[in-house]
Amino acid sequence: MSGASSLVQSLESAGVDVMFGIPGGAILPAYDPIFDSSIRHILVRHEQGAGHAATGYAQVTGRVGVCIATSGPGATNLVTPLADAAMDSVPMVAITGQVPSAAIGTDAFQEADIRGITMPFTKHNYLITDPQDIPRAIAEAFYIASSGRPGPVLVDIAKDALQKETDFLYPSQLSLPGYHPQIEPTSQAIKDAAALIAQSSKPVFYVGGGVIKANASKELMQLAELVGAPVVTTLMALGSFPDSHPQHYGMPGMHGTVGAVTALQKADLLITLGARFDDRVTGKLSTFAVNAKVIHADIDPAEIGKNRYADVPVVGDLKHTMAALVPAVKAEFAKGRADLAPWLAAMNKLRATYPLGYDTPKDGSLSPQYVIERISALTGPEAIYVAGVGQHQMWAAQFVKYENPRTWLNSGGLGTMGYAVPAAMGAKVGAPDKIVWAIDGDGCFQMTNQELVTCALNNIPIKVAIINNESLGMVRQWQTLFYEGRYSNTNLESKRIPDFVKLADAMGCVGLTCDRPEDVDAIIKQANAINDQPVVVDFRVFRDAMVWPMVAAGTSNDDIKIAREMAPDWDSQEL
Amino acid sequence: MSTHTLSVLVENSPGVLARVAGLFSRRAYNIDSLAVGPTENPDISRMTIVINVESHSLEQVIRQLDKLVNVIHIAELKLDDSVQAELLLVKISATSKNRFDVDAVLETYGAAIVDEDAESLTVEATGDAAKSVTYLTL
Repeated sequence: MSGASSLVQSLESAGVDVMFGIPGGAILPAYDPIFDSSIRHILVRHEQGAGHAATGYAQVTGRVGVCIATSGPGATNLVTPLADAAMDSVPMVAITGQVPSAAIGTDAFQEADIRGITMPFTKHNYLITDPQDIPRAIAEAFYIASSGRPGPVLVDIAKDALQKETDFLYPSQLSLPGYHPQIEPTSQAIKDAAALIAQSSKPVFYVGGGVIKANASKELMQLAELVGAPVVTTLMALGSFPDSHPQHYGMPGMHGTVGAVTALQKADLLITLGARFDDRVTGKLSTFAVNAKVIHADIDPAEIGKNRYADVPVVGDLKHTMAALVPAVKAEFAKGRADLAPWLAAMNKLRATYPLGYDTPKDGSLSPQYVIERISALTGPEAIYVAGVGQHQMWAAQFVKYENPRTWLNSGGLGTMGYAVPAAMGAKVGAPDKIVWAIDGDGCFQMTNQELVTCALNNIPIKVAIINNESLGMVRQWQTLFYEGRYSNTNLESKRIPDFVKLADAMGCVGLTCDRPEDVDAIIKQANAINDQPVVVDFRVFRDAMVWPMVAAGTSNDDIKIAREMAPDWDSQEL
Repeated sequence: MSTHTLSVLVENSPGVLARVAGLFSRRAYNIDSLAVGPTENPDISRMTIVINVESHSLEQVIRQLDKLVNVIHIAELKLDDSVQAELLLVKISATSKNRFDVDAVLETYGAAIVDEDAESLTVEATGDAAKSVTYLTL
């Protein structure tokens, strides 16, 4: 058979059921066998859309997302989604065509060294010039992408390797002498961690996206309820622990709750699970949780000690780690444990004093937070929520109520504007029976909305709420706070142009608009009732709403503000 | 900052040098020197990397290197349990007028003449880095 057939059979053997892509010259041989394959190929409108769709699919299903593109510009258009997937540890395999091997290095038409370009932000990548290597590369790519700390893998295949005749033999065993993810934590690490937990009188669970990647929400619940400590879930971890649980303190970080931020700051022990001490969580690192010892559990040993020293490193799969911690902590507690009551009393009081909130605009215009709160209330926690990047993302993190893992998708690490529409498309393909709401900004939406055409043509009925404040809102917020209100190039005028309703209509979607608070519920219900077409709702909201609380970039978490120039009243708190 | 020598076994596959060099570059680790050569196994190459890092980040460098799929094994070659030597090849201007003096210096340091012509000598010497520097200043 041809190398191209070998590629498609390899993908089938790897269990691929759907892929997102666009054909072109160098990848063209592969598209012939794709025509007959059992794999559903969704023809997107831009390769970036294919990449984020693969990410959305992967985040919702836990399986490897697959995208495919041609050489040169097709491949470079995948660069942003690959970088995005690397930062958020998303299992993804990208297949790209390459110019024929004899032309590599000659600046041939549509040649780009995509293996070289993507080295920094793929977990691994390949350039295949011999068709015999195709099945092994594909098998390795799927294994590497999905095991250990998940991540993107790119397989670049020269056109002649796709055209040449070859034998198909899918490898049953892989030989990767340099790749051995550690799954089981050492018993010593578990023992040390359990001992620290029993000694701690001010513990906090600092939970990151790794818990979702490890499918370890059940184990987290067991461990958290056993210990009884406050649980904070980072932006990547929302849904890993139910928002409604009494131990849940919300999201920490730059726009985290006062309760979550302060619990970390004042803790004597951080039980860190699949989190990476990102600057958006720690604020100024040298002032972060200065009195806390750190248990750092992660499958990636390179995360241990990268930003913060770990008193007890625990390398392993979090599902295994937490399953081992539960009996170990029970055994320690049987010998005795520190009293958490004063800590919990102080923290619960603080949390109750400073809940998330927002001001209703005085001019009667629509509050963006209210819109998002109502979408959540009327759609429920079984739905999937996908955000772009900016103010609307933070409000969606704050005001949607998450109860289940894999129901919240966003671009956390890279902060990719334009992520929402294509990622929601991939999410809906992965979970066709669930309602998928993209909560997007008017800036983000204008970057990638072309994929609504793909959605309309392929029966992928997502819903998009454009939180239209006619601005690059988060940048505008920083201009308000740090640049004396000099709004340089953040005014998008998107209440005037484009007409989002007409745009939606032109792309085969239902377009709705809403600018009055009293219409919000009816519009959301109307959108939720439409199941045969994508829906776009232009929520025209108050322009000057800001995201609070806020820890300004580079400052200490101790300097959290609950509104402009307004710090929590620390004197009334007994911390 | 201190200097460390890492002996890194890597798969002998295309692009592996770029992966290692790229990692050092993007994570802002300083490479003092890097040498790549074959091992007795043709599928495996050895990179010997001398880096200059804060001591606490050496572990971080090793862990990040170990994440590269093509990296098989990393060992730190500590000064007290490894042998480290530099090979110096230097071309010296030497005519019949100063040849006698040059020969005397070479003899003192145990250097060997590996090539010569009417106006110059090429000499070879081995030793540690400090000795090489002394040698060059003479």
